[in-house]
Amino acid sequence: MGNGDSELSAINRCLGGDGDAFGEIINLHKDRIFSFAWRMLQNPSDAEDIAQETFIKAYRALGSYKRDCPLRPWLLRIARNLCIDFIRRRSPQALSTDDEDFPLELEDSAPGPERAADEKFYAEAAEKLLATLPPLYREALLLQYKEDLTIAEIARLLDLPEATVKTRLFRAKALARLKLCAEKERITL
Amino acid sequence: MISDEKLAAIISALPYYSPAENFSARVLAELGLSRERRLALAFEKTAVLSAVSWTAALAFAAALFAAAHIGGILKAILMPKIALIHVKFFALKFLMAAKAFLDFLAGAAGMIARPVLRPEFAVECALAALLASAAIAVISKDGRAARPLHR
Repeated sequence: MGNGDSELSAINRCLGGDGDAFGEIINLHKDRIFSFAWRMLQNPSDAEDIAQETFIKAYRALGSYKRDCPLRPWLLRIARNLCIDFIRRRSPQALSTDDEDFPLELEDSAPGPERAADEKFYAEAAEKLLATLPPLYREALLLQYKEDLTIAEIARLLDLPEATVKTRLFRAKALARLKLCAEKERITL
Repeated sequence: MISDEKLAAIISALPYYSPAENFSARVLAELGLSRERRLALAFEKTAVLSAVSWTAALAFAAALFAAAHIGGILKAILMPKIALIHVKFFALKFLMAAKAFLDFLAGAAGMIARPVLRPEFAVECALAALLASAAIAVISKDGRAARPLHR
């Protein structure tokens, strides 16, 4: 039985009142949802609360879930909306996409000769890069590259037209490149 | 300049993190889906339903009794001395029924314990079992009953 089949079987059992089946669904997706929330909020404790709330909301809305669609984007959509609400409550200006609101430099990166090695540099810089990107750019990059979603899937998930998603991704990539290049130059100087 | 592919590789190589070990258990507990919570809920449900059904049965029996003895009840309300006689009568009837029930239980227990206490009954029981087995073997000899329904 494939992953999708076992997931669908778990959903059906869950709708039939089998509580253990929802445990299987949680175990299948908890790492992805938690990691997404962590990268969006930059705090593991808040991320865990959001991940927990995501699964609670998902369970309560399971009756309205369309079974012909994959579960992962649906869960990510719930998690994303909770993260955006959380960020909005904490600081509404954080949802701005004005590049001026976000510094070009990546935080807390002490220069050193070993950091110049490409792979090591990028591996270390990627988390910091995401942390310094505006949340709306961060989520676009994460959904496309980390969660492997298509433009159409991201548009559905964010409730935006595909053209807007493409523009957002274009700007996110441009800013990410700029930040990474600036950081690389700073370290190799 | 960093290419799109490089940027994709950098982000997709980021690891997934795991929440605390008891994460699933906490979510399930929050939803009332943990095994302990489900058992507690089932117990509560059974207890409440039992209480409700027993109350309903008692209320029904009381209503039947009241309907059958409406005259007596009215008399008891109007003349409490007669009511006391009725109460004594019902208490006596209840005690007699309880004694009969206890006698029945004692008789049943005695019947069960008899082969253990008196060995000759054990021999009789064994003989009866042997005879019954022989009778069953003779009756089912043509094998019709033992034939499978489908080959």
